[in-house]
Amino acid sequence: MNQNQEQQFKDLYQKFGPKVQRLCLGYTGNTMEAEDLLQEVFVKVWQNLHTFRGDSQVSTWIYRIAVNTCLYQIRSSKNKKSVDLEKAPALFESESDNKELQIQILHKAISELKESDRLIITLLLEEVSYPDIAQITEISEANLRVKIHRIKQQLSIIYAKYERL
Amino acid sequence: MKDFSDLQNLWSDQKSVQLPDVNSVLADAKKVQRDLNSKIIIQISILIAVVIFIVALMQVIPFKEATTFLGIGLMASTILVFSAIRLYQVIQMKNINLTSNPRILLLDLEKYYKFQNLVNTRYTLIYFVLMNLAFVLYFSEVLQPVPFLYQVIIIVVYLAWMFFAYFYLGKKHKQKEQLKTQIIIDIIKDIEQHYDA
Repeated sequence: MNQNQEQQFKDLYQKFGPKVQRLCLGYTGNTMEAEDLLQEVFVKVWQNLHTFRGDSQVSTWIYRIAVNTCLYQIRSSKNKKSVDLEKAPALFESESDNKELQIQILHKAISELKESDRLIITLLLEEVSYPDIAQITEISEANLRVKIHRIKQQLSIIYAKYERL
Repeated sequence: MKDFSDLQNLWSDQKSVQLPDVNSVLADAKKVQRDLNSKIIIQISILIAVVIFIVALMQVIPFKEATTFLGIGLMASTILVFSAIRLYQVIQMKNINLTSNPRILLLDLEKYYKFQNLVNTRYTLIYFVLMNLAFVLYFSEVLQPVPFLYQVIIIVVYLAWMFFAYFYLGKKHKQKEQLKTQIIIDIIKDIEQHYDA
């Protein structure tokens, strides 16, 4: 790997790092785990950089690696991450700031979805277009639209359930 | 109830978390690459070392009995085959392509873990039995000059250890490994099914 590739890698990291980190956060629901996953994604980006031929957009390529890395991280017990909300209300009442709590509820709601649904909805929340999500996940666009419709409904219901608590 | 656009606004309002330093990520990436290559080199070195060791042993020590040669041969073949299996696993893991279709990735992962399950349970037990058999054959000549009482003590201790290892440790190990990999296989299957639903 030469200097050029190192610079290319650094540029990709600066540009896509924050997006990938949010995707990982959506998937894991945990900042520390998201950071580990982010590093893992960019390790894979580095390993595969020489294979990128520019057939797809670089963003699609990196998101594909991110999605696969998230799925690849299947290790032990069920990969459902629980986002702890128990301490949150007291904390945010005293700070009279409801927004952070709502964001936590959103993460909690996402963490209750199935693994692939978590990835799809996080990509959508990141405002990745339908055709790009279809290309990243290799799900047909028609099927994806049906899936997204269902996931949106599910997410809203779960979010409302926790918002009422 | 919030609609999806509210949730999207909420998502975009998240505070950005500081990214880890790019140089440390790059250093990490290089290290991972090196470690994986080292693993392959180690496995290949073990394979070569075993062959050299066996050839050297045959040359240096003047064994007479066929059982000894059979024992050493069996030991060498068992280690060789098992190291080759481990090498295959490292290469199999290295070849998993994270830029491919996620469905293919899931199938590759399922295949990898099914094989790992087989290696960690059945193949490990076969390895254990063959190695012990090889030692029994090897010791039949080596123990000949030893007094009878010591021969009996060595055989009893060896058999006791073998039975303990096979029936207690082996069984426990098999259950643990089977459970561990089976959970992963089940998760992968579950994701696969949901992915296509």
